[in-house]
Amino acid sequence: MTTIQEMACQELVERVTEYLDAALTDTDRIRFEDHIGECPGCFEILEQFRAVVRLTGALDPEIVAEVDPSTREMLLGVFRTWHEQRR
Amino acid sequence: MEQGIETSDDELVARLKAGDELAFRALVDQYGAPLRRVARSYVATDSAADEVVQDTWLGVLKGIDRFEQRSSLKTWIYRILLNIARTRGVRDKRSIPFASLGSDDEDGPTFSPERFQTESGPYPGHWAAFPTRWHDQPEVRAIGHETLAVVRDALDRLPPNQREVVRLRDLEGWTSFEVCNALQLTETNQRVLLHRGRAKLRAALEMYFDESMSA
Repeated sequence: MTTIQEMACQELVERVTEYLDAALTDTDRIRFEDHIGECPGCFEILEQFRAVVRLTGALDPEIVAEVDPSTREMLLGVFRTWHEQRR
Repeated sequence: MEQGIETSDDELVARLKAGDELAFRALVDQYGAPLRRVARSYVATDSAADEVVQDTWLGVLKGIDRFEQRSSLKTWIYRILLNIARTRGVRDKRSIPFASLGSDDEDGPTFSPERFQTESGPYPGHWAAFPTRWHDQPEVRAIGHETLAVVRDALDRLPPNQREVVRLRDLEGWTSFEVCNALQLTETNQRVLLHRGRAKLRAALEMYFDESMSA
């Protein structure tokens, strides 16, 4: 008979990203989830990591998300030349 | 992640090789802006980012005949971009405006050991005091400007490899598989960098919320 060793808070906080990526082994996932269910501090940390991911995802791209028409024309010119040359 | 590719990679690659201008144009329109955004995080100016993107397209045309599609077209294009952007970024020595938050080769815990009970406490390795709840922070729920500014500032100050992985995963929305492929990282390495980066953003937010609560 094996006993599953409890995951201490100090270990859990280093494994949150593994948990969120579903990269923990089944045993470790159970240890993680058992702990989270009991420990408001670690539950909070999991929520905070989720908030960090959400906030990072909400950052505006720093620059306008459009291709400049003159750049596009220039690239298409390059493409034509490239194609001509390899015939 | 963009779901916009209606045409398959196979078809697109074949059309490019055949000199189909519309295929190239579609590619430029789809990837131009995100490529520029990623490039911009390596180099100091917008115009340098434009040059990196243009060199990337030249690299794509130069390499397309030898592209064996062992990775997706997207990953392959980004890999070309990242190679160019990194080289260029090093050359330009993109200056980081504030003290950077640690280095990439650090190890050790991301949470200070002082936050946990020692061997002499009743529960070694468990919280000495629970972290403050963020749930009560209206800024987190409503995603306020100031909070985002804190995140952006901390992101800019991450060590380069952590910044790169956090950006691609959490800002651009890439999967870990795509990031590993483009940056040639192992799964484990990628996850360590991501976790360390996120942990620093979390710590920066924690400090900001603690300060605003005590103010």
